[in-house]
Amino acid sequence: MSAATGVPVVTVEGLTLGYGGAPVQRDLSFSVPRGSVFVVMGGSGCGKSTLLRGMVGLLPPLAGRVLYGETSFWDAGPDGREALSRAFGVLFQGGALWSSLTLAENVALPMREYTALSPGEVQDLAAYKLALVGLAGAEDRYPAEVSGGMRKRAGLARAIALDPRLVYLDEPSAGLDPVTARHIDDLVLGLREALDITFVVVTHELASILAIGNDGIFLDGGTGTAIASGSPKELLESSRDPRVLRFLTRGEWRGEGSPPKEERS
Amino acid sequence: MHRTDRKRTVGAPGASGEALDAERLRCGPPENGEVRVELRGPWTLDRPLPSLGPVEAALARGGVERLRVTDGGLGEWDSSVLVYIEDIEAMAAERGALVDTGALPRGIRTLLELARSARGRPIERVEQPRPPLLVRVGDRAVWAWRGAVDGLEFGGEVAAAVWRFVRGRARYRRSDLLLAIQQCGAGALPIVSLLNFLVGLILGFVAATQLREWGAEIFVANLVGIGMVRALAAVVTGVTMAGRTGASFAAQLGTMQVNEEIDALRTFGIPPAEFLVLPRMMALGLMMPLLALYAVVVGLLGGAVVGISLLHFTLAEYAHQTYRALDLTDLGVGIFSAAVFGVLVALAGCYKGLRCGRSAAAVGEATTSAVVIGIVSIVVAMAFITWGCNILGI
Ligand SMILES: Nc1ncnc2c1ncn2[C@@H]1O[C@H](COP(=O)(O)OP(=O)(O)O)[C@@H](O)[C@H]1O
Ligand SMILES: [Mg+2]
Repeated sequence: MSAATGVPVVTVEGLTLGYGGAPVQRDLSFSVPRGSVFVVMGGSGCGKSTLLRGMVGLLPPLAGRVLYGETSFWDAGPDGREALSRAFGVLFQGGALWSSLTLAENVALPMREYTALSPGEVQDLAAYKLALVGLAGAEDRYPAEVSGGMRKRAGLARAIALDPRLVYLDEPSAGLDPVTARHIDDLVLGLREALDITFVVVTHELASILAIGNDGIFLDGGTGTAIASGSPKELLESSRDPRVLRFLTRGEWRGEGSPPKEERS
Repeated sequence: MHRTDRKRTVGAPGASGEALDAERLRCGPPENGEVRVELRGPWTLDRPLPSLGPVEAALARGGVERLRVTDGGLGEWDSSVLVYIEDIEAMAAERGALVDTGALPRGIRTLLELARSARGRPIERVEQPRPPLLVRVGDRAVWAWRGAVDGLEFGGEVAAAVWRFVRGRARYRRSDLLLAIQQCGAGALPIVSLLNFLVGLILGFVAATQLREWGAEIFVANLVGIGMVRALAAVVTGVTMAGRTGASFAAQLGTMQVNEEIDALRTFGIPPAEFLVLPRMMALGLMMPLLALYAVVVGLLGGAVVGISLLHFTLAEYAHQTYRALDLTDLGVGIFSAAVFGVLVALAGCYKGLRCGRSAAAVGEATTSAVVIGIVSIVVAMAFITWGCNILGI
């Protein structure tokens, strides 16, 4: 089913998530293979961020499990969860940089908490991570003083601060101009290549989905379930579900059968 | 939905209006089941729409199958012509007649089509109907219960954070603590001075007018002294800080919640209770006693102003009487109360901020209720402290 092969980094089993007892997404099951860029697709408000919150430990599930390796995240105690959290980084939708800290301090804070490095080394490492995402020279700026794209990139630098094997990105390129969005996509691919990071990317940006995704799941808001899974390109080629096709062809596809020829590329 | 209403109000001008209408709208009699509606001249929002009366009259004659809306020399037009055509369509639909807009300018047709396709799309979320009373009462109870549990949970988190602090393991930034101390210390001095001076003054004045009748003016010093030192300085300062610092804590943390900054802390395993609540709570818990001490001095000064200017004591007399009236226990109670109030105000602000919803409006609500909870808890705590002192005979 999935394009990339490899051991699953994270596996979701029968996960039901919601707020106040009312489910938003029901019975999700999938696994994210090591080394893949796994995209969580779906229209606005279908529950993509909700799924992400359930996977990173911010929203206890109504049912089901999230497995990191063999360990069930939500069944591990608070200490176990904290230890598991160390294995992944998260970039939130708006960047979620701590506004009272400079970009460098944002990246440095987790390092200071969890590494044995000296303050000087932490500072060097933070500067290096910022340089990695193209923010050399902006270390001492505050989040309010940089553009939205720079905030997202700084958020990405913070997400990889502790060298995690798995990084979650929530809408990394939403709200950015096409060039900046493309830059973020390139960054994701580059980091995957260079640091062997597995990415779980929540997005509804079609260009991004097709450019970086090599596996994924498609959530439907109407039914509150996953309606397709697999590589986005393959889904575009072979899916029979009108909701998936309409999404992947920006609503061009209206009829039965295959999507229109000109949309395939 | 309100088409008929508008038809009545807009289409009810006098004779001149009707003449104007006729220039812009021509509605022929039915021919072979077809009515021609011709739109002419300018159709812009700055003039009233013609009455739908003629069209309605034509339809009312019966046997009309089609309405042809055509361009009979249409001038400048804007969305007014679109709503008018939609009104015609609605009216025709009621009578089972079709409307043909094919002969209208292309722009109008496109816009009509766009609106039509957008209307056809279902709205994603429908308003829930109001549940019955019993359900609402139940919801309320569950909600209150959850709130209580949640409050306890927060209390537990803070207690754990304090415990880690005691063992020297708490994760927070010293600079945050210093910033909070500065914010709720020096920054609050002017307003604390003003309020406590006035309270001292008012207390002295009220006492003076009463005690003068008994020739016991000198006891103004006792009343102002004990009142300010034991309770009022702490309460007035606490209420001021609830409005000033408690609100600001709630707004800060609420904004962080909206920006998912709190979530980011959690995913790094840094408890917000340690990183955010602890420094603020310590800052206010430390600064409130100092502020209250300062407030006592200012309040006593307020009383002294009354004693000197109204009752003609010398400063030395007044000060001596104050000194005789007070003992250290009073001051101890006042300072202790102030520290408790500081912690309560900080906790109320932080709690409301951390539990804030994810919108700007929610930050406003969080701020408001932080102030309310802060003030209420000050008063309740004051009652408990007074009760406790009574039991202990202090
Ligand atoms: N804190 C919350 N409380 C209640 N409902 C929420 C909350 N957050 C999101 N929702 C609801 O859950 C649904 C999915 O939201 P979300 O996961 O943010 O969607 P998206 O796919 O756009 O990221 C939405 O209908 C939203 O209204
Ligand atoms: Mg989202």
